[in-house]
Amino acid sequence: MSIPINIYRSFLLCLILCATSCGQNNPKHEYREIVIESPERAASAMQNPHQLSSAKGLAIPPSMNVKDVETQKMLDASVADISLVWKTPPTWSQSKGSGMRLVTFKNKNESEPIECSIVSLGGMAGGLESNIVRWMRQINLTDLPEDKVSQFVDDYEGLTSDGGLAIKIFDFTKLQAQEPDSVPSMIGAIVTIGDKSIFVKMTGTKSTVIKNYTSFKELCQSLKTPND
Amino acid sequence: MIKRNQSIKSNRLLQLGSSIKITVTCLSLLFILTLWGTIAQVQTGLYIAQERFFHSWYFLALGFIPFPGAKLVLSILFVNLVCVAITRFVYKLSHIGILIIHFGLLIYFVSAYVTLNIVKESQVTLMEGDGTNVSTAYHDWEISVWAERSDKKRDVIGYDTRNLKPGVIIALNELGFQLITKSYFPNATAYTSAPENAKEIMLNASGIKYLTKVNLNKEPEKNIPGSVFELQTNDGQDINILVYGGESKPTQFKVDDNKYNIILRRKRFVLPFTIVLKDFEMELHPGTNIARSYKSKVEVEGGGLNREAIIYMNHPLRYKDYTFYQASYAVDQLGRELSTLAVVKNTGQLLPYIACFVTFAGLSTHFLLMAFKSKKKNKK
Repeated sequence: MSIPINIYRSFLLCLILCATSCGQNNPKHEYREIVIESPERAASAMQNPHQLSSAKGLAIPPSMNVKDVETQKMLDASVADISLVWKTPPTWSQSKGSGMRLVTFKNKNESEPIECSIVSLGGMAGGLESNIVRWMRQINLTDLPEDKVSQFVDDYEGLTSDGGLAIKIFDFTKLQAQEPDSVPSMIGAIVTIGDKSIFVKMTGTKSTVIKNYTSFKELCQSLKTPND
Repeated sequence: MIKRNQSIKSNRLLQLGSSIKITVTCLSLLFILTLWGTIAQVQTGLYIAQERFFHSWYFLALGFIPFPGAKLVLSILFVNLVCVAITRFVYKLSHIGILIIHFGLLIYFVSAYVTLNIVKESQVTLMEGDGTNVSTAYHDWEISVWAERSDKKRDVIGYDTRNLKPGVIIALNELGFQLITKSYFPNATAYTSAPENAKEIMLNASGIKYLTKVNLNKEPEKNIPGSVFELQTNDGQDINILVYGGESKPTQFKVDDNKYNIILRRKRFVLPFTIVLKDFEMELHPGTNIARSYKSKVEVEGGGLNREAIIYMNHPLRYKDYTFYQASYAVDQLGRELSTLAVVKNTGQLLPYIACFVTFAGLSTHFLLMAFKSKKKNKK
């Protein structure tokens, strides 16, 4: 018959616990933080100590691409500050870049749209092959055997731009020979300038990407740094 | 002993606390709060509705009528049920099943209380190859200050911005200076050019010269705070430092030849180990850009642990009071992947299971006792 007393005591204990946990926390706290950065992020952090866009005096555009501000900050820290000059192909129109993009292009033929962008990053952003694999994944080329991927990475088309930049062009439509014209496709180019990398990426359906290949090459051909 | 129990049962305070009127009122209020809170989410957003209706002791309806919050109603209901258990229950062996069931229900209340007040939810976002030993709060912000070191470690002093307002002094005596808050905006816009009448020179790593206050967004994750501090050193030096929540890099300053960093960022919580994202894999639905599944291969080191783990949907990583869930991912414009893990620190994570088990045991006991009784009756 001692159960009620025990319950009564437990109840009092709960109340005490409730009351004690309602106190205000100290606003100051100390901790040791360990920061491990991937090599390419560490490289970009050194090159680009304080990267922020500053159009019309606004330090950070209020509409950010990534929902979470901390994730956006992480991405901002990895973008390399680089000056680059290019000539927009006559059949394309240029619009201001946003987020990590230096610039975005679209073709004037609205019925067969493509989108092309230039992004600069510090380091090789994970290595050449991992970037190619990432791009493949974006157009659903996920089941390729490793040797075929390696072969594709090695079989790039080399190009020297007007500014003397060595450009590697990767035509993913070659891997989609058996696919219908409407599948998403891509042509990408990678340029290494010192320890920074420039990524040029054109996306659209297989047929539109193939149709715009000449314009894409024209854009790559025109790339140079202002000093050239 | 019997006398003592009778005196407890006849205690007026307990009698009053066990009133059925309280139970009915509390249950009615809970019904109203649930309905009202659910409808209010459409206008105010999920977070604000939760804080107002469910995480508060009371709130003002129509701006001036005090209305009890779910926290208060549930607390009263808990007390009421305990009083009922003390004063009304019949503690006989034949009623043991009913007693166990009610004991299980009380544990549910305790676990709800623990979840509401003790559970810490945060997140870790990592790019492949990155690692950290801290998680990031969803909504709360802190001013982080640390001395520059040559290695990857930072001894950070964090100051919660919740109570920050002009005049608040952040005393960092251990570093030899203090920060006097000149302004703090919970949501601000930052400008790289200041109006002509703003003459004060601001130290800022991103070239921000001026902050303006913006109305608070109903979705708290969209609020980006900004603040201006006056740095006062022991030797009388004073500088104005501007910090903004959207900055990716800290502002550096020197005091007595020591270099310090200051940044306004989401509040950090220390984890019991370092977690490194080794690889992130995502599978898309064929022919679409919609993710079918995604998983993070992580390496955890520290706290007596050194192993690799794969975290994916319904397959979290559990360690002591911590659980890491695969929450979301982001792909930047280059296609680089970032994985976000939700981190839940729940000291009482076993309580709901215990409550469930106790209730089940009570139901089983009661069922068996009843079956036994009815068999006995039939025999007679």
